[in-house]
Amino acid sequence: MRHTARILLIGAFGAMLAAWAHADENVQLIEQKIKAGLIYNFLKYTQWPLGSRQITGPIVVCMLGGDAFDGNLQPIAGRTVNERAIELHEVASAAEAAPCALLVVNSARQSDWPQLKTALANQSIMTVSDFDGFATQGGMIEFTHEDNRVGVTINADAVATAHLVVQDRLLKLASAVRSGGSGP
Amino acid sequence: MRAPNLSIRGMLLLTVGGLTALIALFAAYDVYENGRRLVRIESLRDASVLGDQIFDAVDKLAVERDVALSMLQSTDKDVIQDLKPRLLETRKAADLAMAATVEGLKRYAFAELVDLRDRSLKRLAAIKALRAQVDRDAGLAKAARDHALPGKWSGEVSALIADTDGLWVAFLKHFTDIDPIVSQHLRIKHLLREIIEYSGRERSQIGQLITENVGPTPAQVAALLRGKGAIDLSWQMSRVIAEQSGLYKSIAPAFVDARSHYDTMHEMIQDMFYVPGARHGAAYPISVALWFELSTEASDSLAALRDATIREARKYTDNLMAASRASIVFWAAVLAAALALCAYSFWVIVRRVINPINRMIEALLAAARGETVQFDVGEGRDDEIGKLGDVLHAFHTNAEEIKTAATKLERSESRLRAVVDHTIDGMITIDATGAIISFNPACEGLFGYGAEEAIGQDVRMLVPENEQAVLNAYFLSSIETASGYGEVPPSRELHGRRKNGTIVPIELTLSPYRFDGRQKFSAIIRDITRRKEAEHELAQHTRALERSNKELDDFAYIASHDLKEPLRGIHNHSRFLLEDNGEKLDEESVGRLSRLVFLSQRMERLVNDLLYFSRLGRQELAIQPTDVVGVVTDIESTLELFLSEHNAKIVVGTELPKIVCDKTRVTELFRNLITNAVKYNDAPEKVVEVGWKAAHPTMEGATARNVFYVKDNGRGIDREFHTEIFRIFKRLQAASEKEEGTGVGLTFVKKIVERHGGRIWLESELGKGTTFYFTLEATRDERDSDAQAAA
Repeated sequence: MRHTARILLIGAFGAMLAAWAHADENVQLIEQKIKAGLIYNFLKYTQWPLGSRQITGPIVVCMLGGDAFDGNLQPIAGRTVNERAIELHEVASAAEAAPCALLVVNSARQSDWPQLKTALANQSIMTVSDFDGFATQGGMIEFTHEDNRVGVTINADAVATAHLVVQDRLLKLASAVRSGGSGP
Repeated sequence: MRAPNLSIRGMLLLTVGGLTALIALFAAYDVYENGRRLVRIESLRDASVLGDQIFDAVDKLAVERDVALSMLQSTDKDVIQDLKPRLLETRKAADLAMAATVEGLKRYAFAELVDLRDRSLKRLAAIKALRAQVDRDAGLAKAARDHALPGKWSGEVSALIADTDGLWVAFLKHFTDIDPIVSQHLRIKHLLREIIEYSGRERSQIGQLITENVGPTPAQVAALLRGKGAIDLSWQMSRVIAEQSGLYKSIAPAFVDARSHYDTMHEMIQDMFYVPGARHGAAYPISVALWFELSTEASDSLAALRDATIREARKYTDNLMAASRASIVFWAAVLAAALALCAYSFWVIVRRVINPINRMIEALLAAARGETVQFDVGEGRDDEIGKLGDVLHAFHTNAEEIKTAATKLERSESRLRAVVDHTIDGMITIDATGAIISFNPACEGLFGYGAEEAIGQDVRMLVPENEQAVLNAYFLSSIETASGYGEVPPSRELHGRRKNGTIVPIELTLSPYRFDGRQKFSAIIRDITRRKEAEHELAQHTRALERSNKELDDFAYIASHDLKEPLRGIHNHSRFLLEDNGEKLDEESVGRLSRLVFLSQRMERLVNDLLYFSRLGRQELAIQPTDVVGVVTDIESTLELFLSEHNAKIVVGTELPKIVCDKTRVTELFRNLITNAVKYNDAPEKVVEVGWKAAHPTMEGATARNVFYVKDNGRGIDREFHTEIFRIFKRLQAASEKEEGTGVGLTFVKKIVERHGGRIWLESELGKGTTFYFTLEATRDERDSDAQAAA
């Protein structure tokens, strides 16, 4: 009995050490999950313009430049928001993004953003990314990281330009920026 | 025991009434049941509304709790300032909802509710006391706040929420057996309430951890896990029950939305509390404000689901009530229609069936009483009543005819019975075995038996034993006759035996007849006692007469025969005296002797005639076929000299028939009549006509047939002598020597006619001649039968 208990104690300690070693990964994981949840909420808080293709059928969430969430966004596929089913697509180019209601731009594609932005102009697609300066560069929602906390910055101009309406409740919680400069 | 009599009308009324009552009862029961159900559903709906109100109050409390907690845990003055109006707003809403709940519960007098309500009210009072503290602390710097307050606040409000929840359960359990679907709906609501409550607690708990920036204690982890388990289970259960109760279809979008939202939120934060290193850099990776905002939003999704559920469930109860109301209206209409239909049916049946039948019965009763009735019920109708009316009419007509016929028959029968009853002859009817069927009063008088005694007895009891064989034979021959063999046997003379054993002579006539296919006999029995006596008397008289006649004939014969001898002696002696001593005697003596001789000769003729007459009566007739023409011709030739002397002639007036008779006597008959016709005739030229007539009236005016006649043209005979002249030795004219004759001729004629069974009469007037008519009737049948034999 005692022998067995000792083995268990050693096993548990080993496991704690291993967990500690993976702490960074865990932080990453938790943040990705928070971001995934926020994306669900963005879908809920946003109204797409009447007449746009985004207002009918399933609501399509697109990921450009690969999955920025390591699969953690996958669970929302098949769920509903505002009584519309959510579909999750991976797209390679702006051309493929036409049916998207929300486009997550992988930070790895940061360099392509100006072109993408141009390509997506005049389309009612909410753009989301987490690289620094996304919102100021004309992106609509940027995940920020301040004091170890996930934050949200919104470029209201970009949102308005795309004829999207984001509820005040979200805006209140987010930092606001304008394209080409820092927030007020 | 007889079943109680019930008229058709009564039975119909009973049946229709019973059926109506049954339908009415059924419909009324349904109406009552639906009414009751409606009341129950209404109460259920009211209870549901109140239950929803309770939930609403609970939710409001939860929101107040969470908003207050957010303020207490926040250090950001702006955030606190922002939340303050919301706190006041939710506080007010919570108070109103609680007040409404308490007010609503007052309507229900369930004992346990009162306790729960009082407890809830106490907690509410305590919460109200804490509110002031919350307001004060929220305005202070973090360090100055009461660190225990959030926990105390949260605990108190959560306890009130739990109590109110309990109130809901306790209240609604009184309504769970009204409708299974509604009960399911209540369960769904309760499960949703569980989800809302546990997710609220989770949100509150997590918010607190984030605010305090501490790791969860094992107890907190356990509570979170329990909540999570309860929520997951509630999601599953509520979906299953919603699908079963049919509610899911209408709430599915809200349901999926709420669940999606909840699941996403839960996945978003769950790792922060169970995975090491979540508070990277001594902080949770999400701000409390963001958390509260996101989790409140998730609560809104749940609230939307709750509202959808309440709405749809309410729709169901409303439909249920509408259905019950429709059912009540429908069954009330059915009830009214059934009653109306029954009343109408009854009215129609009474008017179209029972009344006509009653009128028929009345008419039949009147007809039975013998009154004159008119069978016009159902006239012109083509249905059963019409046909019945026709049939009754036909029957009535038939009955009238039968009645008339029966009256006639009765009269005829009574007439016949009167004849039978009053006839002096006995009349009985007998069956084939000889049993007496009927026995009339004359029979009763004759035999001394009453009809009731005699009927059924053997008819042979009415004759003495020694004559029963005769009676049997008579019956047998009658049966043969009835069977078509033999002739109808004539009446029989038998003897009857009376009840007292005396014997009476009877004449019995049996007549066989068939009645109802059976052989029967009618017998007429006549008492012939008097006839027998008369016959006996007659026979005695006849015998006496015969004896007397014979004696007379014998006397005449003996007398005439014996007289001849002495008469011959007188004649001979007288003649001898004349011849021998004529010369010796004087002339006068000779004259006297001659006279003596003449008279003795005459005497001898008289005696001979008398002898002949007696022979006529005694000798049998020698009957033979005779030609009357030949007879007359013979007479004519025999009398030729006599006729020429008297200047007379015989004329045969008509054709004379051939007859059967004693030719010798008939010849004598004709000769006598012809000689008389010549002898007693003064005419210078004497004519005698002989003839025959088929018919001629007699002296009495009757009509005789086959009449011969002998007619002369002589002096005629006075009417007063028309009978006299047939008497023996009767001569109408004074005896003259010139006219020879003894006066027996017509006596012989009459005797011969009578021996032949005929009769003789005459027609004569003085100076106009005489005609003798006679018949030989007795010979006619013999002539006919001989003529047939000759043929």
